Parts: sequence; C-alpha cells; structure tokens
Amino acid sequence: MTAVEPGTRLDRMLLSWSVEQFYFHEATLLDERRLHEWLALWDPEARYWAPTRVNREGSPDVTVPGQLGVFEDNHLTLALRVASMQAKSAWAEIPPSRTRRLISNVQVSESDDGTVSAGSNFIVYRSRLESVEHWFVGRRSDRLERVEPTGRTDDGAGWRIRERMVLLDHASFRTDNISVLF
Amino acid sequence: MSIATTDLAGLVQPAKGTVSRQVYVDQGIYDHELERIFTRSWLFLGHTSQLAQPGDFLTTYLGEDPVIVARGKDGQVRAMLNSCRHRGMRVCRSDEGNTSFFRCPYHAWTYSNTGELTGVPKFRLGYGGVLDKKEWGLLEVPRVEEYGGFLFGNWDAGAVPLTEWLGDFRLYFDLVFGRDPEGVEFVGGVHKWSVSSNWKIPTENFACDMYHVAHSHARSMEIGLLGPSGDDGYEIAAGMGFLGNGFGPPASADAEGAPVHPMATMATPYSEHLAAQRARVAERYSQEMSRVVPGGHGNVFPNFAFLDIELLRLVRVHHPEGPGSHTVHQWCVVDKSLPAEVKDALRRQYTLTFGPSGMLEQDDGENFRECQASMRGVIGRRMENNLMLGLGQDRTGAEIVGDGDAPGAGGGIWSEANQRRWYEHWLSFMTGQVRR
Repeated sequence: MTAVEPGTRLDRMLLSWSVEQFYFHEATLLDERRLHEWLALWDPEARYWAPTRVNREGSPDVTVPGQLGVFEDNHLTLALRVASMQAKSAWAEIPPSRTRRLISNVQVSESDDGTVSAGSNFIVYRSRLESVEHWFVGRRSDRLERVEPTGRTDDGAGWRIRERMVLLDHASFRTDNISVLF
Repeated sequence: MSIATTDLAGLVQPAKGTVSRQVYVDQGIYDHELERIFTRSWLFLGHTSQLAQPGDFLTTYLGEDPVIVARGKDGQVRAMLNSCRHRGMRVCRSDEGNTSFFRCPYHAWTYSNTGELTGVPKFRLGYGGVLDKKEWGLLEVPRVEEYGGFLFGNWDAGAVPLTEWLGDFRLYFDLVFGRDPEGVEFVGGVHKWSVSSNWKIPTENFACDMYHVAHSHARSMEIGLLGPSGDDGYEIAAGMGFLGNGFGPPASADAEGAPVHPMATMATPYSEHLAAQRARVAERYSQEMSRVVPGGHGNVFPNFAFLDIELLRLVRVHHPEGPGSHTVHQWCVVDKSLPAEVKDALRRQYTLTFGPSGMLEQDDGENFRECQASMRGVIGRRMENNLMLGLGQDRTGAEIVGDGDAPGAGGGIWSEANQRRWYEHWLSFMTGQVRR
C-alpha cells in the first residue's frame, strides 16, 4: 500500500473524509440513543458551550462566556445529562422522540498542535409522539484529537472531541423544551 | 364561546377547588384576560442592573404588546409601546443595547430615548411644518415603578402603587431577592422559548406546585441530583404574591448534610453563603423565618415567576401568546456580592437544570404542552380541573412559618391553596372588580 504524502490534496481529502465519517457515526449514536457510546467520544477535559443568540445592531450577535448559554457543560455535566436522559423516569422522552441528524458543510483544518479544527452545519429533526415536530438548526465548531494518530481513522471512531461550540440559529426556541444533544 | 354569556364565577370556583378548562382554551376568555388583566396589573419589565447607563434599553412585552424599556438621557426609566405612531412599525428590533434615539425603519420617524418624536422626514414639504410632534411621541406606559431594583409597568394610570400591589408579599420578596445587603444582579443574556400551552399552566406551577416535583422530576432524584422531598413545607399567599417550598435539608444534601450529587463541589460555596444569609434572617426575625431561605417557587400575579433554591435563582415571565401558547423570558439572578467563581457555578447550574435545555425544565415543557393538547377537544374543555389539594387545611402564614410576623395565608407542602387564591385574583379582575 502506498502511503499518502502529507500536505497533499489527497491527504487533505482523507482528513476531511475521516472527520465526516466520524460525524456520521456520532449522529447515528445520538439518533439511536446510544448515549453512553456518544459520551465515550468526549475527552475527559471537554468543554461544551452553546451561546444564546442576541438580536442587536452590530456585533456580537451571541452571548459571550460569562453570560447565559443554551448549554454550558463539561464532561461531568454531560455525563449527568446522559444519565438523566436514560433514567427510568425521563418522562420528557418517554415514549422516545424520533430524531434525525443531518450533518453537512464540513470544513476541516489541521493545527500545529496536532489537533484538528472542524466546522459542521446541522439540522436536527425531532418527531415527538403523534405529530409534534421540532427543528434545531446551527453550526458546530469543534476541536478534535486523533485517538490513534497512526491507526485506523476510517471506522468513524478515530477522533475524540476536546471542545465544541454549538451555534444554534434560534434566538427564541419554539420547541417546548430542548431534550436533544447537538 | 362569547364572553358576554359566560358565567365566569361558575367556571372558576376557588372555594370549591375547581377551574373550568375553558379558561385555558377559549379565545374569548383569553381576549378578556388581555383586556382585563394585562392592562391593569403590574407586569415585570426588567431589572435596574440591565439598564445601568443613560441610553441603555431592552425590549420585552406587556401582555402581547411589544415595549421598549429605556433609561433616557435624563436618567429616568420609561416603558414605551414599541410601535411607530405613523404606521405601527416596530421602531426597535434589538433585544438590548444603548442608544440616544429609535428610528423607524419604515419612514424614518425618529424618537429620542425618552419617547419624544424628534424627527419627521419632509416635515415642511409634506406636513407644512404644522404636525404637532408633542402629540405623536411613542405611547408611554403611564406607570413604571421599582421595588428592590425590579421594574414593573402598568397601563392603568389609576393603579395602586407597586408597593401596595405587592403588599404583605414584600417581606417574602425581600427574603428571596433582598437578603444580601448589596442586592442582586441579572447575569447577562436572556433565555427565550415558547411552549404550546396557555400561560396560566406554567404560572400555576410556579405559584406553586410542590406536588409535581417528586414524580415529574423523578429522574433528577434517580441520578442523585436532587434529594427526595419530605412532607414538611409551605404554600403562602400574601398581597399579590405567592411562595412555596419544602422545609428541611437542602435538596442538594441528604439528611446528614452530605452532598447527593457530584456537582456539590460547585454548590458548596453558595451553600455557605446561604447559611450566612439564614443566620442574618434568624437574627433579624427568627430561626423559624430563616427556614424560608431559599424561598422556593414563587409568582407575582399575573405572570412574573421565580425559583430560589440551593442550586440557583431565576426570574421568568410567561408572556401570553394566544390561548394555546406562551413565551418564556428567563434570567439567572445572583447576589452582587458573590465571588466570580460562585456566580459562574450558579449560572452553570441554572443552565443545566432550568435553562431551556435544563434537565428539569425538559420535563415541565412536555407536561405543559400535553396538558393543553388534551384540553382542546369539545369534551375535554367541558371538564373541570381539580385544585382541591389541601382543601380545608388552610392556615395563616404565622402558623405555617411559626413566626407571628410571617404574613399571608396558605397551607402545607401538599396544598393548592395558593392556586385557589391565585384564581380568586383572576376572577376579581375578569369580573371587573379591579384592585385600584
């Protein structure tokens, strides 16, 4: 097998493809409610932050750290969320919603420290009970780390999430609640 | 249903503990609420910490009417209908900011931050220079008053003063928001979300409903975030306000005081702060009164609500949006004097539990929507809801708290006394006996 030369177009395509496969894998875990497997994708020092959107003339159109976010989690509180969503009495999701995540517009760049910055757009569709329908739309900005730098990265699980910023495009949610993860 | 033929006193019977479901689904009753309640009540506008400088403004709603709340160049806070006097366009479309003027995007009529009409294009050519600008300023809410930094507005120029509206509830309001000498501040940012339910459903929940906690939020106990609630607690109504909580060890600790969840490392500094506040309340009033810190769930009629517990403190408004929908505006509130890291912990805990993605808020949103959905049908709406919990067990505030200075009346933790009292207020407004 011929090694791909680093820094070439083919190398960058493989990187992008690998990250996309990872995101498709992650989306499947969330849609299939395999939340413990999803949690395992996160670095123990991970940060998960979703600012609140603000309507104003000029910038910024988001809250800044120290102000209210839609999510402001670390690994411990993500684990609490997962435990809470999988509890026997998690009535908000019993019977479970049907969710479908569409991930697109993936843009990947390598940093000098060996991590990868990746942006991805998402639509999360939630169909609840008979006919309740909700959409969540936005863009995620991640810092990803290779789990095995020289190993297989094509099975969708070769990355670990160190940091995620979820830019939800809703200033006011029309969704009764937000019992989904992004 | 036409409101003229409606016997509201027959639909809502607080003494019996029943409320017709028509009050949640009927358009005529809803329109009557906007007229009768939302133009005559003190409605929450914001907090002075959000409007510190002249020119600072925020936008919100009074009922369904959009308003601008601005600190004018003269330093005074005003509330003004966010609607151009020319053709009705919203003159300000930002959530917040600082400005000296609001210019309508439609025809560029321009208003100062005190609401005066200052600029009219083609004033001489088109209006002959005779349009009386003084007559065409933004419509000002005639009454804006403040209590402990909390700003409320009232469309009724003849309404009782805000302090009188709160009445005896002021003591409890002070225990919730004024127990620190430096007062509270609102964390930057506001959470907004809509729920497909009538605005009264969450309002009843905050006014308050300790009965739902153990079951609705059972998963938070299952994972050890909340301790189980005991049978000792209170529901107290005083003035136009309502308060309710459990007594006993804080929800974040077991009977021995040991933390029940792994976030306790963040909660501990606030627990110490609360303990110091309890000691101050005990010294000023009594040991018994100090048990009302933190105060729990609360409401000021009609749609202002708050939650004050060991993990967080929040303030919210349930803006009505038709009979079948409401929009929540919610803020995290912290004592100004707290160190930055404790404020950070409280903000994170607030978001994790009762923000729009909060683990407990998720349960409530589901309940509220599904209540509304099942009451809509022609048979469902003919039914009555049951508010009989604790009926006949009413006690005075002094008896409940164990302190002769505790005002109001209510019941124990397993009571809907507050909700019955809330509907007495509702009925008196809806039938025209306005408190003024």
